Amino acid sequence: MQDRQRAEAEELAGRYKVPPEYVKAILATKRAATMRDKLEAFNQERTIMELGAPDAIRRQHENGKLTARERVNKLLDPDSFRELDLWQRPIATGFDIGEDSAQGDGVITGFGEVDERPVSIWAQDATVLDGTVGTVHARKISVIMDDAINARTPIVGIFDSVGIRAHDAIQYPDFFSTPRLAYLQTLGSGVIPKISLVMGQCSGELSIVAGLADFVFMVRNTSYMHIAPPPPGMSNQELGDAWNIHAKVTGCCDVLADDDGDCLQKCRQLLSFLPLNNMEMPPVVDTGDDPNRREEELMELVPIDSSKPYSMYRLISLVVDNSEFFEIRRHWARNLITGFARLEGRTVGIIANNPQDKGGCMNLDAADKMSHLVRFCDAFNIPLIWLTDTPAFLPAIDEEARGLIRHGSGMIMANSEATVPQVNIAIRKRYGGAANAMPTTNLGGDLGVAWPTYEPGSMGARGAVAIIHRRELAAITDETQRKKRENRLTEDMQWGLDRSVRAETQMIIDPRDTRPYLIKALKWLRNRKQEWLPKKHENIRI
Amino acid sequence: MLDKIGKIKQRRHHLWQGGGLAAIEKQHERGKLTARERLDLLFDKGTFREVELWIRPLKTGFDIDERELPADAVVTGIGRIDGRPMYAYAHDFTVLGGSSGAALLHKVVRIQNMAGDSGLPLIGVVDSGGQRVQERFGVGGGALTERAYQFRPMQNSGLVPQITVMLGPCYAGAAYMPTQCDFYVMRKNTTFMSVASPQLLKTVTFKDVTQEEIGGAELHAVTTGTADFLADSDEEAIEMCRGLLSYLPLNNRESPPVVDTGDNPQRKDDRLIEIVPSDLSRPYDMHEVIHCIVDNGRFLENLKFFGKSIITGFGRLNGYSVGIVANNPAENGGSLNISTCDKEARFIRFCDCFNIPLIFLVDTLGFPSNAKDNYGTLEEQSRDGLLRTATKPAFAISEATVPMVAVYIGKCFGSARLMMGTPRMGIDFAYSWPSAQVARIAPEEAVEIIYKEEISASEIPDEVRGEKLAELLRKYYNYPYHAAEQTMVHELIDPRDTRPLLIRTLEDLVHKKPSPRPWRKHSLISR
Repeated sequence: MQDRQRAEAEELAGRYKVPPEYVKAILATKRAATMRDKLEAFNQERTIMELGAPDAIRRQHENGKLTARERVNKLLDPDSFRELDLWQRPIATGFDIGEDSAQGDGVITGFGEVDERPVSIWAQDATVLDGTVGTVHARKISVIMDDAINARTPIVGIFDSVGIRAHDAIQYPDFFSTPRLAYLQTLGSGVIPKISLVMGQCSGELSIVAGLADFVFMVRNTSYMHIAPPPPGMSNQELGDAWNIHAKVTGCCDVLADDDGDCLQKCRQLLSFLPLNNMEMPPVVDTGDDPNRREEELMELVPIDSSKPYSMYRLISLVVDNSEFFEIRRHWARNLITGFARLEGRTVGIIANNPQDKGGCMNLDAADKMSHLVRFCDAFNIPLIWLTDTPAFLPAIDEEARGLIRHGSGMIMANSEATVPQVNIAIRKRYGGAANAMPTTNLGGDLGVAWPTYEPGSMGARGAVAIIHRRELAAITDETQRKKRENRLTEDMQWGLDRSVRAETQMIIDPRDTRPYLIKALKWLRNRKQEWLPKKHENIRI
Repeated sequence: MLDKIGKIKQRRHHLWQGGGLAAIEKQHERGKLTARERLDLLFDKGTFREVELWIRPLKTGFDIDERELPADAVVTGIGRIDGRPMYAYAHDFTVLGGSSGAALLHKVVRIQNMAGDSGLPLIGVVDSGGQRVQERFGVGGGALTERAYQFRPMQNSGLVPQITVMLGPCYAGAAYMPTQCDFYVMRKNTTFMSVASPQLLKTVTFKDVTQEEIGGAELHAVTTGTADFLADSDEEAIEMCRGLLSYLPLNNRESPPVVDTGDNPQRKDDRLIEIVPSDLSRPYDMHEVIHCIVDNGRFLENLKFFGKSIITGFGRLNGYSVGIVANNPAENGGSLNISTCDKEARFIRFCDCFNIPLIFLVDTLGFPSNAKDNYGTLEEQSRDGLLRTATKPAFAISEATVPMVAVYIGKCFGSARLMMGTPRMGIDFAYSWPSAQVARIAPEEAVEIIYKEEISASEIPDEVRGEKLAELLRKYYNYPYHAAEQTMVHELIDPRDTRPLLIRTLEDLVHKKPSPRPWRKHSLISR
C-alpha cells in the first residue's frame, strides 16, 4: 500500500516537476477522511511549501540576508502573521524556469501585528525565481495593497528581486504589473503610512514602486536601488548603493540599516510613532518620562557666541521623552535634522537646524528634506516642532542654478499647507529668509517663542542706516562729521532693532522649561482644526 | 456735492501718477511700463477697477513719512480678460521701488483672499525692490505685517489659477511668494530672481557673478525650470499671460472655456503619415505631430527651454482646452531625466486641478544609461536624486481624475510606461499608431535575461544574442499588435484619424467622474 503510494507520488512528481513530498502531501489531503486528517494534511502541505528550497535559502543566508519568511516573522509580533494566497502559482511561461515548484510566485503577502497594532505586509522572496515579478506575483501585491487601503492599515513592502520576469512579461496581458502597483501606491498616499524596505536588489520599474512609499529603508552592503541600467563599466552596486549613494548623496534612502535585523527593528520603531491611518491620532505611549522635567544642562549647551556650534542632537535628546529620537534621512542634508520623537507619550515631528553642519544654513536639499517630513506629519495628524538656529539660505551659485527657488517655494508651500499644531522655538539665529524656512506664525503656525539667546533676522543696523539715511549722509561733506553722524544713527537704529526683536517673538522662555513648555503648548493645541475650500489637490511646486 | 466730486476726481488722478512724472519717465527709460499701464494692457480696455487706492502707508519715524507713497506702491483690483473677471496686483516701482510695507502686504493679501473666495484667477505683476527697510526698522517694527501674505497662495493653489508675470527684480524672501503660483512669465533683461544677491555671493564665495548668472530670466527658463514663459518685453509678457488664461477655467469647479476655433473636427492631416520615420531610431520633431492635431495648429508650450525631451502645453480640440504631454524624439530620443520628470508631473497636476483633459503622445527611450541633460550624465543625475524625482510623473498620472488619452507613436518600454501612463494607471483610452513599439520589457533587455546562460556560455555571444533576439521578436513581439494583445492599447489607429478620434473620445469622456478617492488632507508626492 505505502509502496504503491510512494511510487505514485514519484511518478506524479516526475511528470509535474515538483518535489515528491509535496505530491504526497497533496494526495494526503485528498485521501483524508476526517476534518482532523484533512487539517493535518493541509498543514503538512503548507509546512513543505513554507520550507522553500534549501539551496536557495542557504545562498540567501550566505549573502548576509534573511529569507522573506524570516523577515516577515521578525518584523511582526511573534506568531501574529497570517499569510494569504500561499497557494497561488506563477503562470506557466513555457521556458522551463521552474514555475511549477515556485509556490506563492516569489512573494509572501498577508497581515499581522506590530506592537499589537494591525499592519499589512508583502515581502518578495528572492529564493523563489529570484523574486522576479510575474503576473501572479504582481497580482498578490496589488491585492494586499488594495486591502491595506480599504482596511486603513499601514503597509510595509519588502523589496528583494532581480526585476521583471521577462518570460512572463513578453507573453501575458498587462493585467497586473508595476503600473498597477504605482497606481495603488498613489491611491493610498496620505491615507495610510507606506513603508518600503529595500533589502536586496530593487531596480527599474520596482525602484519607482519603492520610491512611491512615504519612507524607504535600505540595508548597508546588501541592498541597492536604481532606475536605469548602470552605464558600461559600472556595477549595480556603484550606481545605487545604500550608503554611498542613497543615504549620503541622493536622499532617496530615508532610513539606513546595518543589516536585515536592524532594518526590521527600525521599521517596527517607526511604525510605533505613526497612526494606522489619516483618520486616527498617533498612538499614545506611556513612556514614563516626567512631563515637568526641567533640564539644567540646557542653560549651558548653547554658546552665546552665535558663530560657535553645539550639538542640536543633544538639545533634542534633553527635551523629548527618554531621549528617543527617530531620525529620517540622517546622513543626507545634514544641515537640517528631521525625525520623530514623543512628548508626554505623544508623537511629534521635529525639524531642527544643525549648527554643526554648514553653520546650520538652509539649502536646496534641506528644503526637500523639510517638506518631506512636514507634509507627512500634516497628513497623519502629527504636531510639528521647529527648533531654529540658522542664518537662512546658504549663498551659493550652484544652488541657485539647481533651482533653489523652485525647491524653496515647495518647502514654503508645505509649511503653509500644514494644519496640525505647529510650534517654533528660536534657539539662536533666525536671520532673513529663515522666517520662511523655519516658520512661526507667519506661515499660519501657532506659536513662535524663543530662548534668551535668540538672534533676529534682517540686515544689521549699519546696513539699514546706509539705505535709509543715504541722502542725509551723502550730503555731509566732512568725513569725520559724516562718520560721527553715521555712528549716532546706527546707535539709534540698533536701539530700535533691539526693541523690535522682542516684538518678533511671542515670548522668551527659560531654556530649562523647554520640555514642559512644549507639552503645555501641544495640550493647548490638541484639537486644532483648520478647514479650507474644497479642492482635488494643491499644485505644490515640484 | 459737485465740488466734492471734482476734488475726489482730482486727487484720484494725482494718486494715479504714483511716484510722479519724473519717476514714470525713469521707468520708461528702463524700457519698462508703469504698474497701471501694465494692468491696462492686461485687462480688456477700460475694465480694470482699482481698490484701496486711498490707503496710507504706516508711519516709520524716518523721512519717508513726509512723502505721499500713493497706493503704498501696489495697484490692486479686478478687471475683465476676454470678458471674464479676474483679480490682479501690480507693484508700482515708481513708488519707493515697489518696496513692500505693511499696507502693501495688506492689499495683496486682500486681493489673494478675494480671488480665492470668489473663485477667480489671480495675476501678480511683480516689480519690487523687496522689503521696505524703513518700516522694518521703524517705530512699528513691522508689527502690523499681514500674517497671511505668504500662506494664502498655498490655500489658493489648486483652487484658482495663479499666474505671476515678473517684470522687475525680486530677491530673497520676496521671491518665495510669487513662485508659489502655477505659471510664471518672466521678461528678459529687466528681471532677476535669486535667493542671494551678487553682493552677498561676492562676500561669501569671493566670486564675481552677475545678476543674470544667478537669477536672470534665461537662467530660470533654461536651467532652473522656474520660468514657464520667456518674454522680450513687458507687452509680450502680458500678451503671453492673456493667451495662457484663455485655456484655463476660472476655478477648480468650472470647465475651461470653449472657443469656436473654426477648425474642422473631422480634419485628417496627411502629413501625419510622413512625420514618423520608419526607422524609429531616427529623430523627428514631435511638435509637428502636435501641430497637425490641434485646432489651427495652435499650441501654447510652457517650459519650452527646460527638460526639452518632453513637451508640455495647451492646445484646443474642437474648441475644448486640452493639456498635451509629449515626448520629443528630436531631443535625445525623447529620453527622460530629472528635468522632464519635474516638468511633466507639475503640468499633469495643474491640468488635473483645473479639469483640463490630458493627451499623451508617446515615443521615448525611457532612462537610457547614456542620458545627458543640464543635470549631467545619468550617474550625476542619480546623485541629484533621480529616484525621488522619477516617482513624480507616475504619481501625478495615478492621482489624476481628468479624462486621459494616450497615443503611442513610437517606443515605450518598461519603466517608461510608468512615466507616460498606462490604462492600469487610469488612462481612459490608449491608441497606437502602426509605428508603435510598446512592451512591458524591451526585447534587448528580455534577451539578456531569458537567454543569459546561452549567451554567456557561447564562444560567439554576439551571434547567439542576435539569433535569440530575432527569435523573440518573431515569436513574441508581434508589433504593432503586441501591446494591443497585452491590453496596453485599446485600438490600433490610422495616424490621420488621430484628431477626429481624440475629439470623439474626449466628447465621450465629458462626464467622466471616477469613484471618490479615499479621504485625505493631501497626497504625498515625493520630495
